[in-house]
Amino acid sequence: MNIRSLVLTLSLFWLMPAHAADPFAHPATADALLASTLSRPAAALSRAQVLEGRFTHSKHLRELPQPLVANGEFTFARELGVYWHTLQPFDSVIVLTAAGITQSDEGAQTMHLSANEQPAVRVIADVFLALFTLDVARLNATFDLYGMSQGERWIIGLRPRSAAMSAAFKEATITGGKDVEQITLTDTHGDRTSIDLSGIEYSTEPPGPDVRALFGRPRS
Amino acid sequence: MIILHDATSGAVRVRFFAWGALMLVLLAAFAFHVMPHLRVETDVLALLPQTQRERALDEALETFSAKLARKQIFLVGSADPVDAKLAAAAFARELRASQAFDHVQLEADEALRQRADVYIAHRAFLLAPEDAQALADGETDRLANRALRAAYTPSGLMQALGVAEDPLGLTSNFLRLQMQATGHVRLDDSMLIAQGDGRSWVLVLSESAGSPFASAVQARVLPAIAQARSAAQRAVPAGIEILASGAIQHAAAAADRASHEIATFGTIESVAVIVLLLVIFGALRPLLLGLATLSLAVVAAFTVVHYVFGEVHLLAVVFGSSLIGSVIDYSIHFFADRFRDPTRWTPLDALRHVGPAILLGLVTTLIGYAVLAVVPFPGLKQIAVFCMVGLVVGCGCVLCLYPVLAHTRRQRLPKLGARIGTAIDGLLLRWRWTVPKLAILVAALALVLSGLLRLDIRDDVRTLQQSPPALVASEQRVRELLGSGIETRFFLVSGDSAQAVLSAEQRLTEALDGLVREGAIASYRSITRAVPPVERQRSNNTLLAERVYAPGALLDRVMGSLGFPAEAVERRRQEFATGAGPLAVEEWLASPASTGLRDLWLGKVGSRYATVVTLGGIDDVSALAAVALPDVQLIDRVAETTATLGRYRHAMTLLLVLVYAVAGIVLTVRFGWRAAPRMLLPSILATLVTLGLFGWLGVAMNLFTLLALWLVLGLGIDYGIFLRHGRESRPTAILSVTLSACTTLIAFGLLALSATPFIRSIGLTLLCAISLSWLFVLFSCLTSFGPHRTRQEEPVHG
Repeated sequence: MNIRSLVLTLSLFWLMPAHAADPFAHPATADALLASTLSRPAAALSRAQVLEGRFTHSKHLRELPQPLVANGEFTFARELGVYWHTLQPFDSVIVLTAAGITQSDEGAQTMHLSANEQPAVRVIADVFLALFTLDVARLNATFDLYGMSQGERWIIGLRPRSAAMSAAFKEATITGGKDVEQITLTDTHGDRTSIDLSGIEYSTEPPGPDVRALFGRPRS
Repeated sequence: MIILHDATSGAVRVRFFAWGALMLVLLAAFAFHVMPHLRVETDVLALLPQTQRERALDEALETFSAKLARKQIFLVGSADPVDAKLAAAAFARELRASQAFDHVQLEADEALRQRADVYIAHRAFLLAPEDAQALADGETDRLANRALRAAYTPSGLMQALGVAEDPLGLTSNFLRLQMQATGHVRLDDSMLIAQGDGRSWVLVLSESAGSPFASAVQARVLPAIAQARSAAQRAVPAGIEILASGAIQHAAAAADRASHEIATFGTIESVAVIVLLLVIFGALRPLLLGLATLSLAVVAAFTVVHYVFGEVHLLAVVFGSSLIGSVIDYSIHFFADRFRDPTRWTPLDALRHVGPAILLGLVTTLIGYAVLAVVPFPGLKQIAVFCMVGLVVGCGCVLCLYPVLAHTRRQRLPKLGARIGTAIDGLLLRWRWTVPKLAILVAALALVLSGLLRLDIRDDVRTLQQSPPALVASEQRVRELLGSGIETRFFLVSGDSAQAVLSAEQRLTEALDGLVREGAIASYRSITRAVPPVERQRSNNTLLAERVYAPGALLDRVMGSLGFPAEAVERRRQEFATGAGPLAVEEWLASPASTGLRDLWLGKVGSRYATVVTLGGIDDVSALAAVALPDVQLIDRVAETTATLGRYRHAMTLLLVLVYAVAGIVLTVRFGWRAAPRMLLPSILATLVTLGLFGWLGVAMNLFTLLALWLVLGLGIDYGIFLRHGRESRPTAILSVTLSACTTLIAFGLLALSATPFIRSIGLTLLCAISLSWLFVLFSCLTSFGPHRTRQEEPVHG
């Protein structure tokens, strides 16, 4: 896909005003999204090798009056995965790679799901990585895309195409301006998870040894 | 034989018309009834007797194995995953359209939620083994922490049920266990995809409609696969590679190669025999009659085997091609008789002269095959029936039709035949056995026979049935890319009741979990993972009641700290108390949850219940064999087959000795104790020398070598009988036997070039043993010991 030439041609078709908060009213294609809404953040992210920042993870559950809120810091490294370190209300680390998911609490590994045994894990890992890097082409392979933008602000919506995927969540929205700011996942039970990202720093350098160490791979 | 001696032309005519009518009926039956329904079976395993298990169980296993054999795995690969998916979709569409398959799967099963329903209904009794263990060990802190982590971190996204619905994640864990895939595939856009060799491979599974070994099924399935391949190429013109795995391509390749070989060898053989007979007899009539006889013999053999067994096995056809040797022999003996007196010869003379020898040879050969027919080995029965029918019909044609049809007005014969006979006879007449010659012979025999001690015996069925390297390579790549394949070894678990089976299987899976940890196997599939035995379900229920749902226990603790209101906790408790009872096998089988595992349950089989546990990625067979549990059996078709081939090779060896003994008695009664050894020993010696040579040359012996030696028995004894009967006209008898040996060598020498190992075994054995047999029988019957006795050389007419 030649993105640069598409940016020029397709941007002419993408002049839709962002008038409502519901992105799902605006079906879009990956090319169109890349051409307009996401052209800047996606271009910046596509160069980023390492992304670091803080998150707030809020879970809004049925039958539960107030959301469950956790916060911490994360590191995304291209080719490696996501390092998700919850600091509050407890210390817990999730490492998400193409090989699977590992969770450690207070330094001790408490859970490991291998992508080989659980095909769904790899999809979740792929999608998660794609969400962080706004890898629209990858997202487009799994989701129907929706989106709109207003000025610097943009919002895109994702709906899984396959039933297998929608078992994990029904729909997702990503909002942001310069960076990805919030990811919201709504699952089939009506529970909603929103992840707010802040203080994001990019690095276009390949991950250094300190970052590799987070993924348990000191050397490449 | 009395009939033959007083053969008047009237009796001859009656026999001619009666036999002719019979043959016409045969041809009609073959053309209109047998041909349209003829089924040629190519699987060597189909020739094997049933093993010693209960009959009903054996049948159930047969059904299961047959179902396994019907499966195919395809991997449609491209560097671009989108291309791979497009090509796979076109491929699967074409397979479905062909109607040659019962089932074609491209999309992974999407009804995940429906599949979960039955488990959720019985969740009060179902626990993942790790969770049950943790509850039993009282690790409540760990379980509570895990639940809180899932609620506060994205790992909760991995849970099938929401936090409110399944606060401790116990049901989600059990469900995750059910969704576990084996191997390296991942779900991508509802297709299963494997990565490897720089490509994305989309998995397509299919199940052929009917046995992969039936030629009719092959004829539908293989073109369908070929069309699907080209449809995939049309959908994505460049860079598509399609790998395939499954029994059908091997079976088809074997059938294809065999029919190709039969066509090639058959053509060369026919041409060679035609040339040989034309050169010797200088006329078309012996040739045409010989071919007609042969055709009738083969048609009769096919017809009878078809009616008796319902199908014709490839091996019977291959082995039955020995009929060409024996039946052509009868024609040759009949016509070669003319060389005695070409000018005055009439077919009636031949009938009188060689008829008794032909009949005697037939009877000894039939005795041998009759022994084969009573051995409880379905393949041998077929071979025996095929050969016996062919021989009887061939012999009948020669004795009943030739006296009328073989009339000739030609007075002269080509000189070559007479020259060959006379030359060999002269050589033999001049030959004198002296002590040094005998000493050399004995020493040479001793040396060769010592090779018997080195003889390698190999019954391994895999060395007997080899697939083309390209297919094996494709199979291997599929296995590597998927990290699993179609394994032929599996466990059979049986019991007096469904619950007993589940309990026995539970014990087995615990042992298998250990093997998975040790790396002896990669994975296994069992139904107890989905439906634990009822006692296990009840203990799960007790654990849940005491450690989770009891007031102040885990449920209260976790839901309390997450801030759920008391009513929500009470609702969970209510659901637990009022949920359905234990999950029974029948309910599970009837639900969508059992999709994909249902085949493992064999159900009530005879007086017992049975199920199967299949294995993936077997690395250490001995570790599997070491699993010793009551009511659990490792089923290893390959090893079983090898063992069975070995048992029958052993039995056939003893039978061969027995048949030689019986033939010895028959010949002794007919010819006396001095002549009989001369007729019999050459075949025995040829057999032993052949095996001795195999020993020295490192050629392994197997059941099929032995089958060939059975043929040597029949032909070798024929040679002896003919030479003995032909004592009064030695050159004619020699010519007759030499021609027979030549036709047999032409037929079987070519089989030694076959790419199918078991056919090659037969060919190599016969090539060696028939040449030796011919050589030995000439010396044994036609040379003498001691000083030169004057003997009138018989004039030979040319």
